[in-house]
Amino acid sequence: MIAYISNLMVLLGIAVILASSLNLMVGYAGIFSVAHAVFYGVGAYTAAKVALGTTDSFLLATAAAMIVSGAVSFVLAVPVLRVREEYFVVASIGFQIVASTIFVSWGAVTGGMGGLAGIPPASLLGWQMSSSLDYMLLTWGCVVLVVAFIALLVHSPFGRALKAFRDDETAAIALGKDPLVLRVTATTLSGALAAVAGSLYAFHVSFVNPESFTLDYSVLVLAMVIIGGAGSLAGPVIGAVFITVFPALLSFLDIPTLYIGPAEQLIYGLAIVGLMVFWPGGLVSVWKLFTPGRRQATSEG
Amino acid sequence: MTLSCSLKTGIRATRILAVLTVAVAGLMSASASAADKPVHALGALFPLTGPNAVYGTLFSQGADLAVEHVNADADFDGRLNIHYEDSQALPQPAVVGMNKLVNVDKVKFVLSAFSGVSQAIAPIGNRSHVFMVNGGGVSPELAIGDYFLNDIPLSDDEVNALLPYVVNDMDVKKIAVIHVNDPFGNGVNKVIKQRCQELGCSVVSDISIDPSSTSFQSEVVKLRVARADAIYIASYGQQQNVIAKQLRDGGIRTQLLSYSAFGIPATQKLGAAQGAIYTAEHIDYDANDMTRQFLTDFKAKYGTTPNYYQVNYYNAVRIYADLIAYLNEKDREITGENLSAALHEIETFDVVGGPISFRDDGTVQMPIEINRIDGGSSKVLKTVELSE
Amino acid sequence: MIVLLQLFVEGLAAGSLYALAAVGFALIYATTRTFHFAHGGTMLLAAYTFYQTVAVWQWPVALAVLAALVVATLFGVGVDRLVYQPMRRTDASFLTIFAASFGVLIVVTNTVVLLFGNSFYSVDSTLSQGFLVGPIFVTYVNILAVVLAVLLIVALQLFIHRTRTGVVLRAMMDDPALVGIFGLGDRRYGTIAFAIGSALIVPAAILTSYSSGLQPSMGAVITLLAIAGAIVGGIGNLWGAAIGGLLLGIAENLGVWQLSSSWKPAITFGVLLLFLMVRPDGLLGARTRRS
Repeated sequence: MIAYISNLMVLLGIAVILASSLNLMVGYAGIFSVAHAVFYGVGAYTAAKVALGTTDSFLLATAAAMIVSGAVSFVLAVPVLRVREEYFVVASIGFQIVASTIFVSWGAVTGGMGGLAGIPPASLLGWQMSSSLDYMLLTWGCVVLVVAFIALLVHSPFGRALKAFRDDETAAIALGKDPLVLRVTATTLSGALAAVAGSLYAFHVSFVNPESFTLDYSVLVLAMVIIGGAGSLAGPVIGAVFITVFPALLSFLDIPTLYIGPAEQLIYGLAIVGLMVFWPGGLVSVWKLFTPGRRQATSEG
Repeated sequence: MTLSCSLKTGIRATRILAVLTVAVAGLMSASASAADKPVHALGALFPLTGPNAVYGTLFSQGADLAVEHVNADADFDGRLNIHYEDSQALPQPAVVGMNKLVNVDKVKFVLSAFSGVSQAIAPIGNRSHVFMVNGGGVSPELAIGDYFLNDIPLSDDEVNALLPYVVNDMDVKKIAVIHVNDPFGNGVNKVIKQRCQELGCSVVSDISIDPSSTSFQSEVVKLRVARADAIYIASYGQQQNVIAKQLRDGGIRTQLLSYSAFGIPATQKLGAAQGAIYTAEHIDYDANDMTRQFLTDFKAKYGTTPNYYQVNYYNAVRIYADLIAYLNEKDREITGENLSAALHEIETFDVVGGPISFRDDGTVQMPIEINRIDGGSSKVLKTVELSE
Repeated sequence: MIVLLQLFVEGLAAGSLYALAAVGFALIYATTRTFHFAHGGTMLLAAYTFYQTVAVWQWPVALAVLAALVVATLFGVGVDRLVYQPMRRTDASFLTIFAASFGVLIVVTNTVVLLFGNSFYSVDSTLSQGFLVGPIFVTYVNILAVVLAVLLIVALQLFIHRTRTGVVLRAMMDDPALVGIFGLGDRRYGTIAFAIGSALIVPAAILTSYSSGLQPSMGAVITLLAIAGAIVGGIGNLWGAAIGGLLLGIAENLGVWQLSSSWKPAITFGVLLLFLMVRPDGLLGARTRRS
């Protein structure tokens, strides 16, 4: 039982990191990306290669993953972010699809559909991980660091400039802020943070292949951000919890496995539509409706 | 609380109590009857859903019958119980399932299927000393050894048996290969190319497709132009049927070749697949008493005759039972390491189809039969014994 | 050489179907400024309705086609009425509407999976067969695709230039604000645009059932192709969308001359990304206003 729960907590932690890092782009920079799984995947593959070839040190593998993923985000962000927001969505989908094809076809590096198997367990400063419990501690340590980092970022001048842009672009430009620099930075950071999740995933499951980094998964992460509430710190966490725990709950009901997957997705789809029509602020905004007294205390974002 | 509220709560509480009582009673009675025989759990990673679910059904029929036979055997000190996990024939869900089987269910023996799945879970099993037996996947890369066994001959054996026949007896000089882009498909493709080099045939077209693809217009175009004497299809389940159909629809009448996956009922009955030639392991259905018993009971339970997939998984479970019995006899604990030692000590197992033994690399050697599909079923053209 | 020619023929047929999807999308976008991401859901419902009626219930083909048309049109109009219009009334942002549209597509796709399962279906018919024209093999579906696309797109152009309703739609495409001012009630015309746009994708759905078969994922795929075609052609321009769709179909198929089919979607999006970066207004770069 402990193993089962630790396992779920690891997956939840990974989801929180992914949703929070995507939120940096979607909620704060206002860039709608459906390609987050690509950076997650690049991070995972990089960490896997490091672990298989060089060292099982979690720090080194993750650092490498963050650098590569950040670099890929940067290289992509610079030309593509010039595009109009409606088109950016489509461009990101296109990018995700191309990346998936590369994951599958570049067999020499990614192992193709067969993927990279037998990734050794992680070690952190002498602590060799072996059980699910170990990974749970590691994951949530990372979650705390990532969310804290994003919180600091959001409250910094950089963060305020981003929000200014999101809320009123013309005014922000008038104040002399360069939109492209801000957006590219946000995107690069977002990609680098997603790589942390990728590294955790690679070590925990000890196997990476293209199936985990598809458009479907990008959509799922986006759903976490939207359902939870973009543009707030708690939103992605709530969304990640909802989307990760919900299937686990469903599995206790006696629904045949054949129906579980589509039933979940159906419910997310309905949740997204319902929320967008009635509460675009996501679950966070619904929560706020029930706690009017706290409104003074919570600041925006 | 209002009266109706507390009444409802009271009723609900009573109901919950009732359910709990029944549950506890059920648990107690179950453990009471099984208390005499230890339960030996094993895992199975089969596609229970998805486009390859048909294989999952076939495989589990074999495995379930074996469990029945073993549990009915009074001499066997234990009861077998299979924990099924849905792999969907994909590596990713399989790894999740394998982790659960190893860490939560704590099994020591897992039935695996499909090459991609097997390759993904092999490191986990090897690391945790959990036995894995594959009875369906045929990629040459499954010769992993250690805790990984195959009780189905791998595709290099199938290709090695087929190609000489096709080149010499059927005068085929030019072969086109259409294969899935995954460990299995790429493996078969490589073997065909190697063998062709030795035999003097040439691979005039080598097309790789996505495992999830169902539209092959462009492939049909390329194959039509290639003008091969035979087209080898290395795919599975639904996809292989779609390929065959779209080839025929596109006006291609070339001889089709394939491997053991063509043995599934849907392909046997497929109009587009009639006339196709494929290989499979040869099972002597008259080999020994166990075989004859298996045949009778299988027909009685499922209403059809079994095919080699079902035999393989039946055999895998029987082998597990044999290993346990051996260890019990020697009074050794049932651990992964001991099971491995037992395997090497026993050397030969009497199973359906005759005695089999495993090579060091975990592969098995069996005669291969070459079949042709005609009128909805297969006829054996030739049986080939491969020399070491 | 023959291979290229053959692939070109395939591309022409595929491109014709993409063109229909793209024109439908463009019509909806240009008149109502809605990024109807759920457009692929329309195709999905039409295709599965057709399959269910013709293959399972054994209805005559004509009735099945009608059923598909009815379902598609009702769906398109329904999404507009129930999802988009309420959101436009609350002045929701582009991203919010997009997310809702996305959500609708997810709902439709998974409803199809729950009802039909994840496997692959196809409708059997002699239509998927064909004959040789010289060295080139042409299927009946190929021919139908091109012919229908041409007929329908030309008919649409006649409609928006010669009929009163059509002219209003054209006015909306040029400037939605204008229509609001003159009180022609863009809500009703918006609905008409959704109806026509959704109906246009039905032939694509039906012909695909014969040739490539049906799979739940086809909804998402065709949405992306429709949008890509519309953008490449120049969003807001109907001829542009048609040409864009056709171009992508041809590029996709010619591209696999050397590459494996797995690269098809990557080729499409490669072309799209190129256009977005180099010529974002598309080939027939129509005037586009931000909503």
